Amino acid sequence: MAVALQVRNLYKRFDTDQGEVRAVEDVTFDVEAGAFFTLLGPSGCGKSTTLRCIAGLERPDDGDITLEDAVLVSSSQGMWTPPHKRPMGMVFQSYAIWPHMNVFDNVAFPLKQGPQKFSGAETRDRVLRALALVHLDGLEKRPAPQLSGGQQQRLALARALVNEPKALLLDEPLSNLDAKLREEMRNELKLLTSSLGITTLFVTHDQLEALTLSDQVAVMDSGRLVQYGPPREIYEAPRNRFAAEFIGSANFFEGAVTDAVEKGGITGVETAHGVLRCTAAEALPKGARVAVAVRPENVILHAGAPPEVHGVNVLSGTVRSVVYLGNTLDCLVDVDGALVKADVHPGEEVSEGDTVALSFKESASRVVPVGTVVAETEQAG
Amino acid sequence: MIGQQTTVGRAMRRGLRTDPQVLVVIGALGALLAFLVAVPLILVLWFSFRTAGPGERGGTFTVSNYVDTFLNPLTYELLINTFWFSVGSIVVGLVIGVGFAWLIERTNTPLRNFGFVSIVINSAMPAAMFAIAWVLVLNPRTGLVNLPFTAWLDWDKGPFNPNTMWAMIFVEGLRLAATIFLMVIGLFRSMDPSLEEASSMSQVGTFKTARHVTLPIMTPGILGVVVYIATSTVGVFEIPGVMGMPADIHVLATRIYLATSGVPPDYGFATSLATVAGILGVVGIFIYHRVTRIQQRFATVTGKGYRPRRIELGPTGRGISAALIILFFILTFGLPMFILFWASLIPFYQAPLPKALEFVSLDAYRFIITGPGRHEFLQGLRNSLLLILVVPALTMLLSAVVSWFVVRSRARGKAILDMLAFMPHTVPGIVMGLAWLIIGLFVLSPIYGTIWLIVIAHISLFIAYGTRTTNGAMFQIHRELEEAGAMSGAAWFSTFRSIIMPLLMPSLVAGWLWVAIHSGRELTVALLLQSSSNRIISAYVWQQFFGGRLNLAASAGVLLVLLIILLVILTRVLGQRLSRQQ
Ligand SMILES: Nc1ncnc2c1ncn2[C@@H]1O[C@H](COP(=O)(O)OP(=O)(O)OP(=O)(O)O)[C@@H](O)[C@H]1O
Ligand SMILES: [Mg+2]
Repeated sequence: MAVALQVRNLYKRFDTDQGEVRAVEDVTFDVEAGAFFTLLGPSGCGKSTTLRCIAGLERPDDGDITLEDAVLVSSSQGMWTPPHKRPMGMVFQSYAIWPHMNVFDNVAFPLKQGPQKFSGAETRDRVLRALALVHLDGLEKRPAPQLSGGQQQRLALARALVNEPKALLLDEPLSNLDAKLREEMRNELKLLTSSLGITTLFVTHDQLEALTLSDQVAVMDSGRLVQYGPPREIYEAPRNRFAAEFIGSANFFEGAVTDAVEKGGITGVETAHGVLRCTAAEALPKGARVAVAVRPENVILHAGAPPEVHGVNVLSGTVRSVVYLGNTLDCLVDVDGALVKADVHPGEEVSEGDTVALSFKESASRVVPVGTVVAETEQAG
Repeated sequence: MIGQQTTVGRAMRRGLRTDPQVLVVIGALGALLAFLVAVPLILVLWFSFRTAGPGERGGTFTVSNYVDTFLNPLTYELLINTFWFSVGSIVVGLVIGVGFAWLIERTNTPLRNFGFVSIVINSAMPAAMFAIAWVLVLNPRTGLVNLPFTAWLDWDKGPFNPNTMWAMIFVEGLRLAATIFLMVIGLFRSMDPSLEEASSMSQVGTFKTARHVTLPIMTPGILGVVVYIATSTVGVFEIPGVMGMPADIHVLATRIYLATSGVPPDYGFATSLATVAGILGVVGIFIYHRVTRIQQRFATVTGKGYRPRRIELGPTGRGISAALIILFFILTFGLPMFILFWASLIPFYQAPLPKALEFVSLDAYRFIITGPGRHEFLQGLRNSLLLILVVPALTMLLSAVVSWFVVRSRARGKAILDMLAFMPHTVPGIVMGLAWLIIGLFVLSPIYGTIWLIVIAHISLFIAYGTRTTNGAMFQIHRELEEAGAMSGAAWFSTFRSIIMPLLMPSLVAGWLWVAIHSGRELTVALLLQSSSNRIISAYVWQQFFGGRLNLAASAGVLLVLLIILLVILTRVLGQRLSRQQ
């Protein structure tokens, strides 16, 4: 597929009273035409700043941004396009619905005041179509501040889409909604963007949103892009400790690689709990310091520690706590002083103080570099 | 001992309704505020319906004061003048003030800090001095702006004249611009910038965004500012007094002043006019509250994505806006200050041309500081310093206590306290001045003619501002902080002194500064209450100006401005120290 949006070596720093903040550091990625691309990361990692640089609301210190062959920003050529000259629509976290206009006028604004001129009938037609798209038809006359949170959100979406932008930018659009509405809007957003086939850039700190909505997820940490790829790859094969920890939770066992291994191959890792066998996320030399990451749901708990549990990756320990979460039991097991998390089927008979055995498959664990070492971004897909 | 402390602690938790001590304090505060605020106003109203003036014996109820006033064609001329003066100066102030607030808060204009400084420094100059300076600048023969016509074209007179309605509107408009700027900039700051960004993202340019998004959203807020300002322009005295009065162009305030300072004073006319002005003020504030309520409907929730971004002006735009900022500084401070300084250096005013340089000397300063004029001037200086030291301290202390009751306690009557404290704001300054004149003559005759009458009058004038500041700050101090004080066994007074006051300190300092500046430069009330022994510098300047001793007026004025600037700098430093400590 063709690449719609290209971001190259983006840098943005802010001077504040407390000194310089490096909000975005050397961020590079491509978004394919029609793809749903998500920037995911903890609060303050620079997601919004990245998005705002793409929107033109922030002027990057360095870097290039291209949208469908049009160069928007190029530090080498000293080029910068102001936001109102970029063919993009944006939904803000606060929705930014203009309170002095009604629903219709909010959506009509880009058509009336924007660069293209439309006849009255044409404007009306387009506005109504946009409103129908987000199921707000019939509310044209309503003063905008009287809308509910979910309706404001749809209105913001209609306004962003009404003049058929080449890309749609969404900055945590779901975070102001309550849990149930959020799920509903998430599904609608997915349907809408895929039926329009519009290139979408989405910012969130919610991993569930990122995993369920996206074609591609980019994980950011302290201004840097840590990893990007399809959601499944990010989840199943995190390339470093930060990505593994931030998306879902994970247990880590640090150690040294026993045999050199190819990317995707199986290797042993000498840890404090013996040699563990697992899949390498990238090629590693013998002796490399790494951590083995295992997600709690991939840890199998053998209650009663029957001696017949053999094979690879078996650990034994004492249950420290059991928390009932409805669909799972959240167990913490003390394995030689290290606490290992395991999600267990609620039917399992396990209680505090039990001696148990734990195991996990070699395909269900990943070797990641130690610490939050930043991986160089890699051309995805 | 222990028993007593628990009582206080429990009373605080229950909202103090039952504690007799608290009721006593509230009663005392109420009485004090009533004396400061309500009594003076009631007296004005009372005398507007009496045949005898204050100080005279006897008298009966009458409406003849009003009948006379409203049968007098002068009254209508006055009202019409006041109307045009207010409307005109507000329009001028709005265009400049809102424009500047937008430039400085929302764009990447150069000289942003300088713009801010020039707005603030303007407040160091008393209005009467500002008007005097502009009288000199606009003087038909010697005024700077008329010089090209008189000196080069040899005309008899230049086209500009300070003693006209237009000139008054322009000068008052310049003054208002600074106030409006400071109020509007708060509106800009509280507006969610993503509302503008959403417009940019709809491919709409900077100026269209300003016109179709920013301005309409701000309109209710600006309307509120307009009404608020209008209530004060109705009673504005200094600028019409300096520029209009000599040409017999009168507004409400100047007529009230003339009526009271005539011989014999016409209190019937003055009090009935003052009542009219007071009613206009109250109506204005009523509308203001309505408007601000409408504004709340417009209030939008700002997401956590809040972050002001500045609009990028092009090179031409930046050039123009820098020029405008410099021009503003020149008009509001540079030029008036220069002219006053010049006027203070020459014995008989002449245009600042090279040929006048031979007359330049520091004689005026020598005359008022060490020469024969020193008695009057130094007396004024002493009195002004006393005001600057005592008025803000007492005002802020009283404000802090009143605010505690208004914000914290659940005692009955606290709404009345708050209303009383706010009332002086709704009443034009000239009316308060008249009220205190009546009290001075009628009730407090022992302190009439002393500086203390002015001190009390000023406290009543500034308590409205003081309590607004401390109310806001008190809301921000979490109730549990002082409850923790009470729970650790401290009595109410020590909690107030050792927890509330220190936490309030930054706002108290800010309020103190504001009150100090305004008390130091206040003229209207001081002028009405003046006698030979309680003259303050601003009244001294006025007296010398109208006595034709321009160089003395100017030199005293220059010294007053320097004093106020010094004061501002000192408090700034102190304030920064304080905030660093916390
Ligand atoms: N205008 C600014 N001035 C100073 N610092 C800023 C500015 N904008 C962002 N920052 C800083 O840059 C960093 C990244 O901010 P950004 O808003 O991009 O984070 P984010 O990932 O969107 O976080 P969140 O999930 O909380 O929205 C933060 O440390 C922030 O404080
Ligand atoms: Mg953000």
